[in-house]
Amino acid sequence: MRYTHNIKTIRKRKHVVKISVIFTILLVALILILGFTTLDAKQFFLGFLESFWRVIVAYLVAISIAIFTTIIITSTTTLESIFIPILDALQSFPSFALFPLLIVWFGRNSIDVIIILVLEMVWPILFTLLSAQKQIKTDLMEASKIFGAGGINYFLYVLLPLLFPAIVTGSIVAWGEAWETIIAAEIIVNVTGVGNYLSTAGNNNQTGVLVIGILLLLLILFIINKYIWLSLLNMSTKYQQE
Amino acid sequence: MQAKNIGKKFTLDSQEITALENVSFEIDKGEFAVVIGPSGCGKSTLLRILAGLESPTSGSVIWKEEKTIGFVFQSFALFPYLTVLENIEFGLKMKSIVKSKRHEVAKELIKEVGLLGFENKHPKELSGGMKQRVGIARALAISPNVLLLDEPFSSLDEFTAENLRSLILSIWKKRQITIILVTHLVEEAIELSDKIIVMTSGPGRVKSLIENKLKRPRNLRSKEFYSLEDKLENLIKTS
Repeated sequence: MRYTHNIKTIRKRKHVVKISVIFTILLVALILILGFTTLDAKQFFLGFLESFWRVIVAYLVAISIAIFTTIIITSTTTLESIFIPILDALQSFPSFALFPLLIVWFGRNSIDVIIILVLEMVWPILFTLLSAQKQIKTDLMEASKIFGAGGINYFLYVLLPLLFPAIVTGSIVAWGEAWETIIAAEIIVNVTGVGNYLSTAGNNNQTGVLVIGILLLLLILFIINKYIWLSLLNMSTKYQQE
Repeated sequence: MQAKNIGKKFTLDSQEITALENVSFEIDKGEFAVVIGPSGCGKSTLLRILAGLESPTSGSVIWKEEKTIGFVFQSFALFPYLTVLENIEFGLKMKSIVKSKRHEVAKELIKEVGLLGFENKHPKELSGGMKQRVGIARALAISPNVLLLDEPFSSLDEFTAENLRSLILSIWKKRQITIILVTHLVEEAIELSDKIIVMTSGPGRVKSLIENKLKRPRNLRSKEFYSLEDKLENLIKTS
């Protein structure tokens, strides 16, 4: 699997350092060669921030849906046998096909992009959670019952911590897909954001701006991966069942 | 405590399996009962029914007094994300007992079961024996008057198991609680029990009830011990 491979490689610190160094050297070199002036830094970062909050909002919605659905579906085996095939079918639905409809409904704005992002992000999280839920050992469920963890306590003190590793791995995949999606989604809907900024640069034949912009974007995302997701991933090993 | 005609059936691959049939026995307050039988005789299922984790298909369990049940698992079943201290406190936390009180109880138990210095370790960092000490302390933290143990020493080496058996005996003496322990080891059954419930498999039934009158502390090498061991072994073999 592509994703598991990615997760394993980003765990290695050496790898992280190496990539950071390569990125920085490349960026400095490019800035020196092409001149930073071609890239409007302020506009770029404003665009980035705009895209960033869309991803965050979509992520929060997607993870809530995924956790809620997992709890509901896995509550009985009947629900599970009904819904898993349905979800499996829905997962393959090409979400970009919804764009014309969304634009008709909501006009050309952030909501369209966020809905598409949610549709992209919810699947990897949901399916990782569903399989993780299956792997919770019976004895842990029995222990939580014996020691009185029911209802909300079961959710907070047993289920959520046991699902935490899956939440992190699912989120890493979803996060990666979201950034792939948002660039295209912003261009299609034609709202401001980093995708649109790059697209405009492309239309104006500003190759330098494009290259530096893409590299900057990669670097920012890489730093977020390293400092947020990687440390969450390391933390989650503590939550793994034996 | 009284178990009356307990039966348990479940379906596996659309085949109905009878795990327990007409299981009846009584256990007195403060008694140390051991359920013994070959694997597949439904003894773990029986213990789970007594604990209320599963419900019987027929029959019933009658408790004559208000009961609080502590349960010790063969697989320890510790929460991997909690420290030793937090695992022990788990039951109290679920009862919304304040932190200072929880700490007090847990610290006392840590001393009693021999986990001093391990308070802030996670289960992963502990040996099997240490994990089961946590399992026992977690069960005791909720001040149970009934302690159920499901093959608690089966996944431990003999030396560790012996230490934990003495620990269980000292806990039982000190607290005078009712203990029901499931095992497949004859020697363990005789060493610990007041009453032995011998079960047979396919379907699980009570083969016989043996009152174990050997004097405590028990000498595992005495003539009486050996003769009871022979008797039990024959009972299980011919089942």
